[in-house]
Amino acid sequence: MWQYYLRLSLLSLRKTPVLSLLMVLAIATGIAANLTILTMHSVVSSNPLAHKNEQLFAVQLNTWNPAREYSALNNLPPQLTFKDAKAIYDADVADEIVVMQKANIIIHQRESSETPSAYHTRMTTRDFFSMFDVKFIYGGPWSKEADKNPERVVILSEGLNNKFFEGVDSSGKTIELDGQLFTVMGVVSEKWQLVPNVYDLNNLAFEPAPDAYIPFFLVAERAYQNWGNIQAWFSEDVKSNQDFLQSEKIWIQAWVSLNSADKYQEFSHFLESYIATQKERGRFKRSPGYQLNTPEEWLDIHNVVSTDNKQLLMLSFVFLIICLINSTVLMLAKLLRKAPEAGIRRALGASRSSIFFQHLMEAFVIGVAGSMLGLLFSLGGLAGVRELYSSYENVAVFNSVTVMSAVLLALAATLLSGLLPAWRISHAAPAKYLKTQ
Amino acid sequence: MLDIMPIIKSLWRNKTGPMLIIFQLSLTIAVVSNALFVVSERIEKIERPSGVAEEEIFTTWVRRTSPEGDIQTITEKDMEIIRTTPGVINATPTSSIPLSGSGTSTALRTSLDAGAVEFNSAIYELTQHGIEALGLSLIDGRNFNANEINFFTRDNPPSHSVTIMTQDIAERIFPEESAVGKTVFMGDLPLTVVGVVERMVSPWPKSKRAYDAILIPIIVKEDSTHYLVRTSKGDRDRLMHALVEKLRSVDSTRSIGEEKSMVQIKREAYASDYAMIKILSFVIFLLTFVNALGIFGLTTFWVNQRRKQIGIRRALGSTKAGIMRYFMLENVLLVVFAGVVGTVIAYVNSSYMARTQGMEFLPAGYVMITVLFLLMVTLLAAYSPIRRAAQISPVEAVSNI
Repeated sequence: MWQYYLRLSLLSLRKTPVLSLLMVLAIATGIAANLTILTMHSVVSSNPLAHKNEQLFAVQLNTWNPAREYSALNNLPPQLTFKDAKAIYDADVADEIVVMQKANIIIHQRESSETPSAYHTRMTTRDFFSMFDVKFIYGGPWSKEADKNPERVVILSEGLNNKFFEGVDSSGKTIELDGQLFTVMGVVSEKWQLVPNVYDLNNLAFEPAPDAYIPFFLVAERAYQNWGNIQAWFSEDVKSNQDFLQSEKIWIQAWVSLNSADKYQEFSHFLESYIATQKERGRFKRSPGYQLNTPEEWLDIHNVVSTDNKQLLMLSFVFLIICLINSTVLMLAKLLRKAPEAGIRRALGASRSSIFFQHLMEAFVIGVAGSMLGLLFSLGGLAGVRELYSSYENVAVFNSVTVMSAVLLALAATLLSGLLPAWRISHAAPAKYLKTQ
Repeated sequence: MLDIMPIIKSLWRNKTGPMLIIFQLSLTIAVVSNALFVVSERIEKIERPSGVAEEEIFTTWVRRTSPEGDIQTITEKDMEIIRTTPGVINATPTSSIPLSGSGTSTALRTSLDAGAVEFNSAIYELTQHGIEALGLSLIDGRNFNANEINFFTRDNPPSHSVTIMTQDIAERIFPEESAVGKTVFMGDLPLTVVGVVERMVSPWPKSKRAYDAILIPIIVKEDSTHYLVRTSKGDRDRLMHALVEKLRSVDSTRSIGEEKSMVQIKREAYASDYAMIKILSFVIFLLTFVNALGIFGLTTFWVNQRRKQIGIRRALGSTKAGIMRYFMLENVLLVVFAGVVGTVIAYVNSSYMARTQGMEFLPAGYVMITVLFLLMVTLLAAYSPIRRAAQISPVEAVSNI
């Protein structure tokens, strides 16, 4: 039966090629626009740390101006001062702890022909690699010891390893960072990339993973050029690196991993008592004194999904609706023209439901064709989006959401645009049409 | 005009199609008018004057590669080379680049009292060549003198210096009097205002106080700095690459690169706005297209369905123009109904957005323009099927019987 309907509908579509093409085009345009924006949105709004959402927390400490609250985000400063970061690191309460900054370091390898240039380097503690599921192709993280008494060790990205060591296992070899020799501990796979990079949302949420990683506490030895944000709420006399470390300037991102409710309690208590002792020294005059944020909350606080993204998402659905209505109107027009034919079939004994399904089938064929064409168009749409937002390189790519939505939208398109016309024609009284013949 | 009532009646008899098309048109009107408004808002934002000679400037980033390199020596040597290159108007080292998104800001006070009001401002550390290199217009006071330029290390900061302010911040700190000759404090450091420039954008063009900026001739010796070079218009791109190559070849104690024209920096600063403009323009185009398809298809169908009636009307003496008027009016009526519904939808949406997202309220002009535009598109799309309707011969009235 269905095969017969399918043949009938193909026949009927071939009879009105222009109108059919218009319907397919209308549905394809709507679906393409919708898929493009949906894909973009699904990535922008995703949480790559969802599986650890109960366990990881971004630490905020409110060391800000007693006279005026921090004016952005959730009104708490997003970064820590060095003394606070060091204190919570040294306390060793959390299961895992990461304190870090984004730096800019000149990297050079004497045996290689590459000229020395500046690279995006993350200065971090070793727990970064386990906390954010970093994948290594060679070697692995440095030891806890290398964090505490900072050693000159470095982990390279696959890209940098290809550049300086022709892609071979460089563990144990040395490389120059800012004129000092560092030993390579491992190489991070280029496949590792959090999108968005939840761990540091200060600058660009969609920037590529770092080129290199070195132990954070090397900052105590000498100043490294910061490539993130340094913020201060009053001007301090900073004459040396030591002054800088002791200042109230905030520039460090901190994350902890708390694997049980008890740990969470313990860590909160630790922070409360730490803040209490600091209060005696005249710091932490604002409340709340601290806040622990899950990755999801952190993404939310930083408005990673911009108003523009939300508006475009809404727009894409309205757009789709317009296209579907358009296709419904055309379908209605087409089917009503065929009403006499349906009238004859009814008179010859076809039931209402068979007329209904026969015409729904026609809408279905149009819907499938439109969706397939739309899927094709959305490839172009996504290429356009990548062109427009250079930082969305990782964002505007086909994913399972796109394909799933394409299937769902095809079904919805069929039902929405075909239901009404098919119902109308199946309920038309046959006698009326027979008479005009 | 007498045609209107019969048209409405005939539309009403077969109301599903017309109602759907009215709904489609009204959604389109709501979307297009809002999109037009957003596009024009973004264009206005991008086209705000920056105060700097955007077309003639390029910048590059310089960083010493060995700790022994002295950024002052490096800079002075490079500046000499840059300024003597034909085609270069002027050049300066600078701590930040306008519109680039990264830079330093500070709080300025007029006294050292604890309760003194603080004025936040962007800082540009640059030399006396900065004004010309940026293309700023000095409207009060003077430029920096050569002896005021001071490269210093953090452990040996100056105890006093001078500054040139933008008019925006000068008027905020010193309302209704000239700022020249006054003193402001940056932290504890007193700065004497020696000049005021008409306008200069900060590194953060989207912040509320995008034009609050001061220039200071005291330059902290860091690992890196930017060079800002102004050339004659046509020479910019050629000189940009040639100069960087040349500088790279004369000295290896510093790395130099990331050369960018100011036009490109601006494009990156407003990347999301440009993206919105392009996406929304494309959406407007597509919606227009889809609606035109719909109207064309529907009118064709209606005409075909009523061939016989048209034939009868023609046989009863109606002219070709009369037939065309009838169908044109029918389409006009659809757009008019849609205009009413669309305006309502547009305003419901706009007031919702204004409430939740703090967006501007949609001005009425945009809806009107959209309705007129859509009316035009509708009539154009309907024209060819309607013309064919008018060609129907009166014989059709009898041919089928």
